[in-house]
Amino acid sequence: MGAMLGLLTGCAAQSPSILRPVSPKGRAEADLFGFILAITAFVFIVVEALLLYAVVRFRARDPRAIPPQIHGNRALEVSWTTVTALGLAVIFAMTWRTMAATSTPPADALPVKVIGHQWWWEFQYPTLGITTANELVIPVGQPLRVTVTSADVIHSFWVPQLGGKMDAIPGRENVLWLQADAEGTYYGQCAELCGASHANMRLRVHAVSREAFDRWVEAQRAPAASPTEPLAQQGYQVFMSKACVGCHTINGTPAQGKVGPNLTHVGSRTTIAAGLLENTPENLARWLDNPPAIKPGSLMPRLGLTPQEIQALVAYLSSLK
Amino acid sequence: MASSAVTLPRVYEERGLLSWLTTVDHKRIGILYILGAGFFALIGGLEALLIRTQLAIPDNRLLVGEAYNQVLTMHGTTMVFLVVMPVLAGLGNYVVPLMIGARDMAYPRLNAFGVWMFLLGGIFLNLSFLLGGAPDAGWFGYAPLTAKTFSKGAGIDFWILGLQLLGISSITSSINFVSTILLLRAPGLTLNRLPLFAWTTLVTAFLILFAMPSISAALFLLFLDRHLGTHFFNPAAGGDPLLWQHLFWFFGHPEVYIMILPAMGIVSEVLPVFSRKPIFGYTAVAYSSVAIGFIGFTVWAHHMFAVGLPDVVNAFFSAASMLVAVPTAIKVFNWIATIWGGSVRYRVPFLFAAAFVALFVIGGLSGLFLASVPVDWQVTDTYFVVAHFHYTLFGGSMFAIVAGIYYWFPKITGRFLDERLGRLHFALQFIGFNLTFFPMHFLGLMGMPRRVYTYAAGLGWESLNLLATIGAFILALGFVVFFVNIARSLVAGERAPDDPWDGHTLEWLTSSPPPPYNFARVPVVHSRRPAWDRKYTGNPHPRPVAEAPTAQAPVGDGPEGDSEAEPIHLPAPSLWPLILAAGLTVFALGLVTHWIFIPLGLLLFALGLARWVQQPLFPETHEASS
Amino acid sequence: MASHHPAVGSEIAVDSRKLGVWVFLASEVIFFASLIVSYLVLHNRVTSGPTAHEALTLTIPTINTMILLTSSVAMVLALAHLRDGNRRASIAWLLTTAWLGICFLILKAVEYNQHLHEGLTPSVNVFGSAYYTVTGFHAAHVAVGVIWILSVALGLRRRLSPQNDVLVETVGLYWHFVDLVWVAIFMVVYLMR
Repeated sequence: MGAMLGLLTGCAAQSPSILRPVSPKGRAEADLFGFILAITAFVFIVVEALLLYAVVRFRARDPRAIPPQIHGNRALEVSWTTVTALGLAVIFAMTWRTMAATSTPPADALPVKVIGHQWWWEFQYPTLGITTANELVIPVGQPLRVTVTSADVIHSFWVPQLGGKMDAIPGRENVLWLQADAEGTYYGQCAELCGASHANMRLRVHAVSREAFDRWVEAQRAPAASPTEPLAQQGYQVFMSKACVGCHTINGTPAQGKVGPNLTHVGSRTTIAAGLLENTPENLARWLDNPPAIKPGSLMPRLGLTPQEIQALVAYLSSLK
Repeated sequence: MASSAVTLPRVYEERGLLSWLTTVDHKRIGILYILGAGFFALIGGLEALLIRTQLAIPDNRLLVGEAYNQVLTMHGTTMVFLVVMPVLAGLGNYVVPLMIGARDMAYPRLNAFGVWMFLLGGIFLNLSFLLGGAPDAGWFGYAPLTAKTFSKGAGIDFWILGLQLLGISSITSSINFVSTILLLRAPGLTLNRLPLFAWTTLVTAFLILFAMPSISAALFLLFLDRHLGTHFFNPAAGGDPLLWQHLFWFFGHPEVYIMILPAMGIVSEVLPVFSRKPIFGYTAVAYSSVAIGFIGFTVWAHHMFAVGLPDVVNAFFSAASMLVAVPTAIKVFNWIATIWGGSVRYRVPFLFAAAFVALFVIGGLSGLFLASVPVDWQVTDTYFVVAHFHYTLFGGSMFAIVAGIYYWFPKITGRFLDERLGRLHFALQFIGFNLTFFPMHFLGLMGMPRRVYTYAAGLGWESLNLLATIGAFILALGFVVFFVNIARSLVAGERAPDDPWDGHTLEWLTSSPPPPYNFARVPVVHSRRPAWDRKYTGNPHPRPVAEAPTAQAPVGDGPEGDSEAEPIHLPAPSLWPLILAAGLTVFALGLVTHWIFIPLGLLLFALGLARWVQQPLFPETHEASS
Repeated sequence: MASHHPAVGSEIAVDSRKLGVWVFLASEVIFFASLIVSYLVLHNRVTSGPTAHEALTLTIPTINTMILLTSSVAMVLALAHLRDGNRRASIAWLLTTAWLGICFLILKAVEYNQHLHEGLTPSVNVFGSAYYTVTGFHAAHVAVGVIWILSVALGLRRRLSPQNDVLVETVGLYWHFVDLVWVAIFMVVYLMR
């Protein structure tokens, strides 16, 4: 059922469809969807058929004919009320079951903290001492206990193929069970209107093997690589002398700003600007030149960098793997 | 009835602008509501087309960022508060007093005040576009996005104050409907014989009275947060963004029933007439309306399943949300049973009413997915929800509204809307609507969130978005045909008799349009279908109405006829409701623009109020009330 | 519709102005309920600034409760005298009611003044916000009531008669409602602090 539905809706197979779930929660939700779909499809067919039949079959042949003036039928009323109520009771019972089974992460879950910002995602792994942004790397098959909150307005953390969403509300910590049972990259996006660039607040979840995850953790814990080639070294200088340090953190350097995403290992991410652009030198350059043009309302302003400065910064940031 | 021997003082026959500005006649007020709603529908529709054009292709740059958010916010706010609610209030205003055999609403001047508050409030809200930017935080304005920190401009203030002004209009209108329906029914018109459109209007009035104060309180708190530094929704100081959501949705959910119930009432009037039999299960349908009203107050947090409320709380709201499907289903089955076995005439009102049933069923069924918490966790805040509420509010309410307009247009204007243009309109609207909104179910399932001004290429969302945009333009074309039909028919439409559809209820017993006093003699009622029964029951020579619009139906003239002749007192026209409404609007303007308008508005308000209270309701000297 | 009395057919025999006020008051119940619920939810979520326990004293609020309850009695007397045909006494009692309402407002202003001097402002913390909002809206309703009473007692004095007692009955309904809301606020805000 889920596969058929997946085919139906993910007909562009690249869609982050909720009907091609890769997590226990997502699968339970998709199964429940399928169950309700079966019932509602049946109801739809029966009711619309009855309506259509009534409309067609009883079309007036003589415009003055007066049909039998029937006022009602108690047995019928009781029957269709009862059937409806029973059908709904069944749906509710399945709803309750699924909700109970999916609302809390299992005990051995790895804690991850998600903090929504206008318009990017901060990710922390408290037990691993890692802070990163916009791309979450997780081990396959490992349940995560994701605590979701916000630093400003309400956002909503959603990776469709990994299960339902959870709102990120300032002053509140909500808990979400996240898990990916197959390796891959999963698309996610903010799902609560949060201002001008709500549409541009995207994310990726990379589910990798346990070994790859451990390697990633080690690399993330390490401070930023010191640039070796000259252009990158120039970029380092530009970064540390400009306003960048006021907003961004690069571990192991004087840059300790907390307003924008942590850039310590930005070079290892597949996307930039909160999942908006592919992480290529061209896109990095475009972004550095004029962030508000790409992301309306962006809190990162146009810094008035010269093309040379931009080239240098691109080299430096790309080196931060 | 039509042949009246009543002569009216000149003042009631006046034409001209002043007579409209001072009218307290429920029929003129109804027309003002409908015309106003039509005007705002053009604006809201334009906003919709802008949205769809922007979303037709990925990474489009036509309307981005906050500009897009302003358009989407105003589209929603306009359609809810400036189109659907007012047009239903307008149809109710025009039709309900006639349906219950009354000469006017219980509080004629309060009625006028309500329509001016609506018109001025709607203009006020739209002024925001010209005065610094429209509100851009969505039609439900979640805190803290609406806090001063995150919304520095005056747009949100226009939204807050505009909604307060409109809320005043709705509340006064509801007080009027409750008193009118409870107190002013014709002799013999017990509640058990009340037409279903009047039933739903009554229930809706109570919903408004109990729901609007919640959003009013929330709006006050938000305004205080924004301007007096209070902390209701500021988590850093102990405030709670969720408080906004609870207060808003406690209003917000009944609000959608406020928008659908009168529409269901229209369908309950139209289907029987064009099937030539009574509504099937009158009692069940009437009680279902009441049940929907009650249950509707217990489901609000189903809009909040993803905010992290405890499981047991979510479960309660989930169960209640499914429970409301029961009375809704009862209505649907009764509507189908009404058509069943009937002698169905495919006139345009019937087409739209039958389409209502078909499309509302889809909307209701998609609602079941949203009521189921785990599924909702996936589909909430996606285009699945956009599909759902457009199927219920457009496929539902709007289709029924259009049915009502085609149905009562002859009564209101004395002319028919053109039948052929009507069918063209229907085809375009039906096809356009489904093409626009059915794909959105899939877009939601495919991961597309709502309220996004653009989307990336390569996610598989392109073709369905393009399809939806094409559908939207077809839909718009349908409305162009509709407005052309209205314009043409107003001047050159085929003349309509008193009873063009062989109707069931009292409004068809008076002329088209009715005289200012509605009925020369208030009819005495003996059943749920007084007009039908005068024609076909107890009448030794029943003569059905011929289909040609010029035929007249004879009305039974027996001892159960009309009530005794009595002197007719009509309330005097009054300027003060308009002045009062203007005062409040100017006051609101002062709060968002120049302070000088504050005392100016208060002055107008005080003047209007004082003169209103001093002016007697009836012009004759022996009038004994305030 | 020849008057404010229901049409012949309605089985509900109530003056339309009275029904209108009842219905309006029903919606006001929800309005105040929303404010009171907001107060209940937020009032002790303070992290800094005065708390309810610290800032609120019972003297003025208790006196104010007595004042309002007395004023309701005065209002009842005003209506009773009018029904007896004693228009002068009725107006006197109406003015007494209004005067008591004004006393309430004066004491409220004194109380607010005290609070402000002690550092309790609407913006100091969420308790301040909720306290001033709930009591402020109530005070505004009292003020409107006073104006309404004075308009009836002074502006409409010529229309007052036993046949027209609805003019006093309606303002009475409103006034009793405002009194009841105060009792609720007194309990929730002051007694339960």
